[in-house]
Amino acid sequence: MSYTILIADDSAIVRTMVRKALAMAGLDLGEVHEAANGKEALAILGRTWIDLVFADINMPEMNGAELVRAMKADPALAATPVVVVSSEQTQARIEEMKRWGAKAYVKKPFRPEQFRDVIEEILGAKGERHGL
Amino acid sequence: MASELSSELLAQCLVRTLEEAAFVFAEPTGDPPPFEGEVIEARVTYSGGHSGELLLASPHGLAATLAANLLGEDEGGASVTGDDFDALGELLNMVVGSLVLDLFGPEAGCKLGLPRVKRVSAQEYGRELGKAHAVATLVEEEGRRIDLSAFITAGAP
Repeated sequence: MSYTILIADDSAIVRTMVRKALAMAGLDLGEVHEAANGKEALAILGRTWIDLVFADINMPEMNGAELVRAMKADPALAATPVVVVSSEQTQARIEEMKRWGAKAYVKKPFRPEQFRDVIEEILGAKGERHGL
Repeated sequence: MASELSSELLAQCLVRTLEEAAFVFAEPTGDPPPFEGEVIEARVTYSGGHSGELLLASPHGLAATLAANLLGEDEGGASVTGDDFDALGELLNMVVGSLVLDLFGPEAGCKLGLPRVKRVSAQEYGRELGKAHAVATLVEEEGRRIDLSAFITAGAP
């Protein structure tokens, strides 16, 4: 089974880095959608089935926290897991994001193994791995 | 545990981030080569125990290397073109995340801004540097310089 992924980050470099790390982590990637902010992410979520969202916190127009809250408020999106990928590392910020409904947190800079661990935890994707 | 804002702390954060994220190995220097021509500078605001702004500056060539390394691609590849601004902004994003943790501790509530990146003349950059509260100047293996400086805008450092 392949997974449809959405990566929301205002940095094109980071979106590419996440995409590569996911591939290296052995996730069976299907379609990978990209958004430069929470607003674009919500638009994609509104028209496409997404299995897993990777979202930055600090983004223009609509940040990651607002994105998570908007998804939780929408019954059609509330169950879609969100992994926060951010350089913000304080415990206070991580707890805040989890309280709002983020499933996991990956700190930048990241390694593919970190993505593998959260994917296994969230999607039970152990049997889907091809690499590492 | 919180640390004081200093040139040493800035250097530690920058060295660590360059190594972990971009596989660039750099060390502090007291005798940096001058910037020539244009400098790419990235700025980001932060607030916690105090408010301030970080400024990361490098020559274009080093920013291009950073972009290539972040992407794991050969320097000069098509997908690298134009990514030097993005790379410097994202590296600064990583640096500030690490720095506020060191400055204010893990339990502190901190706010970070969005990185802003632009090209300035070496002279303009030099004038700005004179206003910094703390400056770390590093030189990487090929002798190229990268600076991280901090400006306090509110509250005691």
